[in-house]
Amino acid sequence: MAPIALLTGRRDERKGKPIQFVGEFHLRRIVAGGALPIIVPAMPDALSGIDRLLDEAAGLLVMEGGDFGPQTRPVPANTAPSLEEIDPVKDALELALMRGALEREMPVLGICRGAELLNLVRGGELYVDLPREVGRQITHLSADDYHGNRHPVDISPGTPLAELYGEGRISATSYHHQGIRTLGRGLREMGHAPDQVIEALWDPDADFAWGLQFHPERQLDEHPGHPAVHLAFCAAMHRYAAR
Amino acid sequence: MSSRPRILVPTRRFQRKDRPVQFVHEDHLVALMAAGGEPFLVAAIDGMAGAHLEQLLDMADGLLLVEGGDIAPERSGIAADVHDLIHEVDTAKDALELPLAAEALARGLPVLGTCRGAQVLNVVAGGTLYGDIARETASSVAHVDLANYNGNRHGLVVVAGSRLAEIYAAAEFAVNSYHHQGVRELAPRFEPMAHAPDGVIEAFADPSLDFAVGVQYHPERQLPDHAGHWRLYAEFVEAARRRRAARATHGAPAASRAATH
Repeated sequence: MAPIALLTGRRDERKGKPIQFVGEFHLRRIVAGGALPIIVPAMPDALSGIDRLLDEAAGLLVMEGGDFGPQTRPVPANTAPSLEEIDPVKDALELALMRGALEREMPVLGICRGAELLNLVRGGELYVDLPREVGRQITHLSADDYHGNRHPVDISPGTPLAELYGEGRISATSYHHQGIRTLGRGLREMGHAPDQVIEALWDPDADFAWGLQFHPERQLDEHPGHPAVHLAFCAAMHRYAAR
Repeated sequence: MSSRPRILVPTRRFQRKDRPVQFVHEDHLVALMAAGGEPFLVAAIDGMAGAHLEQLLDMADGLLLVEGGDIAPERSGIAADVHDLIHEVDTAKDALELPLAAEALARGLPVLGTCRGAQVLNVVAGGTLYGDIARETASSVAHVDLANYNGNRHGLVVVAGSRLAEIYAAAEFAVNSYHHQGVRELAPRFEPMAHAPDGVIEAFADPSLDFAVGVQYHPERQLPDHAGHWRLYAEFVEAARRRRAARATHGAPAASRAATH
């Protein structure tokens, strides 16, 4: 039996009607790692089924999406209007999944919004809007250049990310306007942008609990570290399943 | 802990922001959830079926197959002179759904196929499809109206005494239709439950199984139109609930599987 990776759906519209979707690049990486991706729709009724799913699963992958709503954490008054694409159903589902996964000491990988979620669950704080709160020295989001935008990330020596990417600077796909302001309990930095915004974090006490603000799955052929990220997550799932 | 019956729903590909995503329309999931089912989604991508088919089916108490592009012509048995009208073939989706459907029928796992899903059921059971109803029949029924995706309706005549007649408590009703292929020869295991006015088979079931139903129309897009649409999902999920209860009694994964040993 393959270890099961839980992923959550995201809402969009197609032909004028709501859909639940997941980016295929993530799914392919999970299958490449020998695990079985199962998608939980971000709909209200899904919440009551997650304990059973978590008991069967070996990992949680939380990916990109809209901003976390104000009910998930304090939002400074001067930044509140910049919240975008809030989905309270997705927030509630992913918060519960992340808490449940961490309680079980199950491998978790957070990409983009997922990294922010890992930090939130541990009590860390987020920037609500990077351009307003940090400035525009680094372009973390270019609405006109969804796929192409890159900025440097300096990998922290001695971290698991350095084992995949080597030490030094990489070029990372970036598409977010929120970000990590303060690290949550037990979390450490694995990399940062030149403006000091944290781009990668992990829990050194967990077998595998990583958050990356960038998108390795969208730039697989640009650096051997990128395809290795999801595979490292899958390897941890295999360890978890074999316990 | 949830004990709701779990329904496996394969997704479908489309390009979003110029990159492939796997999706399913929420209206299917809304209908399943309203009936007390717990849908989980599996992506129709390469490598999924070969490695994970058994595991997926073992997790499921029911299988829902929904709309999508045309089944590859070499799988659907359509006439060679309509191959030029085949479009949106997704070999990864075929590679996942055809074996899922075949194995669900073999195991007696409750299965509902809507639109393409009905065609998948028919094909894996040995039936054939029209490659293009408009070209191959003299039908005056609009089975597809590209400009009226949600609104297109045509009449449907229910076979008296069929399960569909029971579910809808009606001899006729109007259905949302959005397909250019359709059932030509119904597989031997299935019995027709409804026809369009042009004679095209619009609903069928395997009477030997608890629930193995295909409908060519879209009940999920017209739930407010008729209480029968809700009851169709309710009966499907009830069958999945029975399946789940039987598994609990006879041991996982499936009683029918144990019986083969």
